[in-house]
Amino acid sequence: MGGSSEHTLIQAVLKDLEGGFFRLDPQKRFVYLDARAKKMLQVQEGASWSQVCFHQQASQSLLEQARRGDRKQPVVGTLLLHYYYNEPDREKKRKIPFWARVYVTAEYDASGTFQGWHGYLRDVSAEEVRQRLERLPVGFYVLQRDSEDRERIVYASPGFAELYRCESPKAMLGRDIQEFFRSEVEYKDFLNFLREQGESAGEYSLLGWKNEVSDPQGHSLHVTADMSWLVDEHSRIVERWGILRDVKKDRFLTSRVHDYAVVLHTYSSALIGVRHALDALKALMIPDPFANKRGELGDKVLGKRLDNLAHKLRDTLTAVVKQAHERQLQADEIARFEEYIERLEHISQVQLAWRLATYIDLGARILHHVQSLRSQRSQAQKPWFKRELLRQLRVKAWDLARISSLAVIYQSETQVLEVDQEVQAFRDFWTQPFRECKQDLVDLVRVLNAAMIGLEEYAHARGVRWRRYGSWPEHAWVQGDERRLRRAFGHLLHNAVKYSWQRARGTWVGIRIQAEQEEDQPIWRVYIENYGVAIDENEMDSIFQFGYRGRHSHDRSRPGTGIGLYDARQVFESHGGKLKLDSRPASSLDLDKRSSPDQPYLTTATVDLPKAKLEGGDPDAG
Amino acid sequence: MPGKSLRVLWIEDKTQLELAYLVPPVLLDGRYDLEVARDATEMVNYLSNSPRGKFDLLIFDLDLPPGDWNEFVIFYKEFEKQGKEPAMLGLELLSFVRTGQGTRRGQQYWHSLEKKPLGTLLQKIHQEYSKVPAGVFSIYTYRARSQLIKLLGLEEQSKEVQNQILIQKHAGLPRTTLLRLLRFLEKFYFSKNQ
Repeated sequence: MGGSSEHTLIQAVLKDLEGGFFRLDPQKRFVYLDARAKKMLQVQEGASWSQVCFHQQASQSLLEQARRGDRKQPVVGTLLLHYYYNEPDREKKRKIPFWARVYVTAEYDASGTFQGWHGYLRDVSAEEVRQRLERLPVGFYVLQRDSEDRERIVYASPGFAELYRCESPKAMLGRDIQEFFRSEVEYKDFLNFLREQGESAGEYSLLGWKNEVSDPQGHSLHVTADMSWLVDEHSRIVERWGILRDVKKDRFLTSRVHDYAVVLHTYSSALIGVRHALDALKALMIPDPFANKRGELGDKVLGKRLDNLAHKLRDTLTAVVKQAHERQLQADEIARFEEYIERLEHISQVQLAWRLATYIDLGARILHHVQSLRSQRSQAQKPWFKRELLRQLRVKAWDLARISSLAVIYQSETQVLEVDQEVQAFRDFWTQPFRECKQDLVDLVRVLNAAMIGLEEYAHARGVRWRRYGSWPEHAWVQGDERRLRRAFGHLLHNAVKYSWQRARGTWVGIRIQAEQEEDQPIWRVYIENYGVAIDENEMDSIFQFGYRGRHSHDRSRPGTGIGLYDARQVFESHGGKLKLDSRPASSLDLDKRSSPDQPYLTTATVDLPKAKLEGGDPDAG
Repeated sequence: MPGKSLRVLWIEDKTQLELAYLVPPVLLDGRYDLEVARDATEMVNYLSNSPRGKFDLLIFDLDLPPGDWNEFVIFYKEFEKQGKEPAMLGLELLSFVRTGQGTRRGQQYWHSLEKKPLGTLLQKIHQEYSKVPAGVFSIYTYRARSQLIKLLGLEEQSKEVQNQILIQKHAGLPRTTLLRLLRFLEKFYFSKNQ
């Protein structure tokens, strides 16, 4: 091909677009490919045109059209081409399809003898886009008009084949789309409708079109489609592509999510009921040493208290057994008491959770035995057990069972509050697509306060206090959706409470909010800091993945869904902001050492949100 | 009590609050010396080095967290990523203890451990514990039932026996469930062999 004709062609047709240039001989073999074309098609001169075409009929017909058509004007079409990719560690080459916009002109010599074609192509589909479309649970399709003026399927995704109950996308290729309409008239009407749409709007696309079509077996399908199309100079639709969804399935999914939300709401209500029951139980267990002293529930302090009570009970049991032997009293309960004295020694060495459960059980059994011994008094030999001794045993057994029960109740209450928050956030997360995302002026100070109040009880139950660092501004305005922001900050505060360790001088979550400049943009920066469970350095990215839970998140059986940080980051980013996490050893002495997750860490979540541009100036500036 | 009683390792991560109520009947019964391994790492530590002697009975939970051992963490994440099935690290470990290899799903992974310290420890555990009576107590017991029957060699046993050894975890289990399982294992394996 001469330099000047190539230049003319590029000027006339390709303008400033980037792409590859090629030439085919009459046998449709490449006789020339420039560097870009070679890169795109991964073939050399000598390869055949059919070798790079995904759908043969459409691509051959484009060449034939060019040969029959105007010699000065190129024929244009979007073809699905492909190249072969050598995957590492795999013997077989992988076929990678891509959409190419192809411009072709037939070549003739001076005597009018056909010499082949020259053309230009450019990649119009990124591989990522194709993959994403195929992963969507919808039907993606491309139709092209052939030489017989029929719209044929040249590409169908697995979702499209499934929608039309076809065994595979391949089985749909080449089929006339008219088959899928209930009648020819309906199909023609539809095409006319598309033409009118395009003419009136000057845009060849249609969104949310709803229709009833039928699958090859004649079953009716209610579909909704988003589509685009190309027209030629005669306003004829030469190519169409789009996405098709089964309306029933859409409704099904929507209703399912609503059902889940209802179930979650029920769980939430049940948790409130459980909380109420625990409160009622607490009211009966007086005196309650933990009511205003959550620190008393720490493993060491509680363990010591329980050991003390168990020791007293053991002494009283020993006294009762001794009296039985002295007075030669016969009762089944005595053998039981002897067993318990022996067991108590062993029980005091097991883990705290088991001790609590066992002391409740043991206390209840002893109370039952005391009741039985008292009821035997009238028929039993005289003298029977001293009244005061049995009363002492009852008191000691009740004390041990009561304190153990209270400890379990407080632990359960904390867990209920924790799960309740998780359930609510989970429900909010799943149902958010059904709520409109608002763009209001939102005060971050108000959002943070609301999130803190919402978690107040949970924080209290875990012995955690809020500590406001620095002086907070009166208002901190941002543009966004208040509900979503509250949920996102709720996730961060909830994590901070959940992953806090108890410290001797009190446990708190520190929160700071301050104005900053980030790349000349005024922002609000919020820090939320807690002391406790570590996040591994190599987890700093994966921790934001959906459903991912940090390696140390199971520390002390902390429940969670792995959605909080993912959701929080999504929310902040959708507000033009950022969320970062940092976790480092709490003690400065550990900074140089290889830190151990057994040591407390300071974890800081930093949120940046752009300040809202307010008409009439920033109210918090004055 | 230790010395006279059967040593039991309960491999279970939820013994702190949810399942603590199953423990008192066992402790008050006094015939079993119960210890708990809360994750895969703890299980390996207990079974490979228990100063108080070899365990007589093992109770497995099928869905077990990995704990600190990095190889377990990698394995757990890989399986979780596949997404179709829960990671079931406990099932893999049960399979390894009994047969010296993981389930079909995890075989490739276990092979990669062959020359690593963890692989050596697991082989040692397999040699010591492959014949030790084991029961299963998990929310995935029904799901993995046929696999479990083979692993525990219960193919020839009646359904009643299988049901006594393979316990499906659910809310509302009687407080004596764990004790009943231990008593049954003791009677079935130890009385039968005497």
